[in-house]
Amino acid sequence: METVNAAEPDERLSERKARNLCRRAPGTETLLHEPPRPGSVPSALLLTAGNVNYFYDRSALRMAEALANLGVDAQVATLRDFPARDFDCCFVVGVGEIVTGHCDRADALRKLAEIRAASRFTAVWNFDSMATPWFAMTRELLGRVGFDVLVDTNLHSQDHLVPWELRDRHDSVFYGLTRQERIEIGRFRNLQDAAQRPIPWATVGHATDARIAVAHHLVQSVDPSGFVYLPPLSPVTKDGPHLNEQQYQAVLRRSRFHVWCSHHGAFYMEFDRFRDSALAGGVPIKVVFESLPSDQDCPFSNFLLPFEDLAPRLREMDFFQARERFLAEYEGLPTLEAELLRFFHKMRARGALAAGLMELSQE
Amino acid sequence: MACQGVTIAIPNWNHEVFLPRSVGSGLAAVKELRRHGLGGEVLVVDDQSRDGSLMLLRQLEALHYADGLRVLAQAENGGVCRARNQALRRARYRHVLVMDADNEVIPENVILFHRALNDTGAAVAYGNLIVHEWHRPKQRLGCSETVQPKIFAANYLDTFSMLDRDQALTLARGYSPDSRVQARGDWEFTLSIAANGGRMVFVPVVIGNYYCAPGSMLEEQGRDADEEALIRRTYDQIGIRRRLPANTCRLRYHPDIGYC
Repeated sequence: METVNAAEPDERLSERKARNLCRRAPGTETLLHEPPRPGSVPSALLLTAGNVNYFYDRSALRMAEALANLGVDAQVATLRDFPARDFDCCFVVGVGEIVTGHCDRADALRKLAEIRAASRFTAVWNFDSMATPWFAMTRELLGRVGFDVLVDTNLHSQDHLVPWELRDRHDSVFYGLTRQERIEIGRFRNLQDAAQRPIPWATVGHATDARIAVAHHLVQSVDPSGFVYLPPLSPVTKDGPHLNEQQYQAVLRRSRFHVWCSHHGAFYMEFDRFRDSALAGGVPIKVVFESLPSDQDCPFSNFLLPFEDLAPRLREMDFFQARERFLAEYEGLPTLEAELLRFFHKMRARGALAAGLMELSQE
Repeated sequence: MACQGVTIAIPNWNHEVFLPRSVGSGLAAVKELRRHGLGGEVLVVDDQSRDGSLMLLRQLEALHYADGLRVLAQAENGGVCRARNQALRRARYRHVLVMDADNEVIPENVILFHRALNDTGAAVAYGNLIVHEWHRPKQRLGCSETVQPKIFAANYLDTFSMLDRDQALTLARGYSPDSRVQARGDWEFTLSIAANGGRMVFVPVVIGNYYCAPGSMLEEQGRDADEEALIRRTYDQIGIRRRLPANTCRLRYHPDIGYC
């Protein structure tokens, strides 16, 4: 069986190389199904805000699912309810949101230090564009909380944006589908469900000038009857105007194209938008105002449309063909489990892993 | 009389140059409704315009009567709220889409609002407005969120919406004819519907284009503090509304999805 990078312990594996290796190694994931051996189950704590945005909580839950598939005893918690015990590793999911959501910054930093002391290995996971103020907040906090590695998690590489002081402690993990999600999207392959999708396109997010321009353009030039939900920006709260995950999925399940653009000027692949589209059987269309990435490995390039091409391309796009292409491409990308395993291999090579996780990565 | 269909009501006062756009979009909507087997009409209520509107409207009516255009001329100028009420009373259909004479409805989407009212039994169905301001090159979005308690503190909805005529006339007794709240007539009407237990659903599609021309009524009058104070005194004098249960709170409905 071909493994991802076990033969190259000292070599920094590029995203591109890793993805190519994973594409060639569908058998890699057979490792994941083996149940952990009694007495040797490595443990992981996934720390999330729990009260800021479901996006981060969902990311923590997805990683926990993937870790469980790898044989790790993974537990998701917040600063309010984390268990007082040792862990082989701690994944801090959205450190900025965790500190902000806790309200008492000093107490949050104290608790993070406590968790860090109880964990043999700590990885801070970044889900934001590194060119935005939100990452600047993460960067500032990294100087205050202890960590072993900053992991950038996305569909494309942001290596060129990694700050100089983090270059030695940085890694990238391709944020793929979990095994279960990959199975789920398979049910849309070759499915003729036009009658179930009366809404031609849907665009959802908080209102920005660019998003309003996209909605207006789609109404004028593609199909006027698209779903438009762009309320003003406001905090994500239980009583707020936002669609929750179930409502959002309900919209996407009835729509053909899921269209959006970033709410900031930096190029960024909104991985959850692609994933949500796939799980709902829709086709993602990311409208790009900024220049397209030169990275050849940026996936889904057929679904990144410059604003000026949006209307003609969307009008001529056959939904079913486009969906087949999208799902096939997604299925060919590494799963989250395979990427986490690759990450553990790398950490082992750096000597950063605790015994339990080292064992896992040696399998 | 009130069979299935939609009346598109357009009060007009000196908007001659905008009428071809608003009436044209309304007639296109009627065509769409008929294509779906529904009835439709465009009802323009002219409020004693002096700019040539009425002559144009009579000509348009002669040309497009069979397409569903009807024109009513008020005997005297009574203000936009009275003109809207006249339209509500004279509408052939129970569902009445109220729009200003300088706005433009998206014809294909009218049926979605009609279905939303039928499905939910709500008093009002409204949707996104693409707002074009004469001094701002970029569009903004209006009416893009649900009715929430904050509506009692400040208005964020326009009158461009589809009404269940019967509920509009019974719950709110139509638009207030009080001359002191004319420029805020849409807000006053919304609060009256909400305060009387009516439901307003936000339909997440674009209902139309809203054009803010220089010198429009709102722009001319600015934010009239007295008018707003009067409305607040009527509906939320002691600021307690946001703590009271309301029938209309955060209702989002799309006829192809349901409440969402």
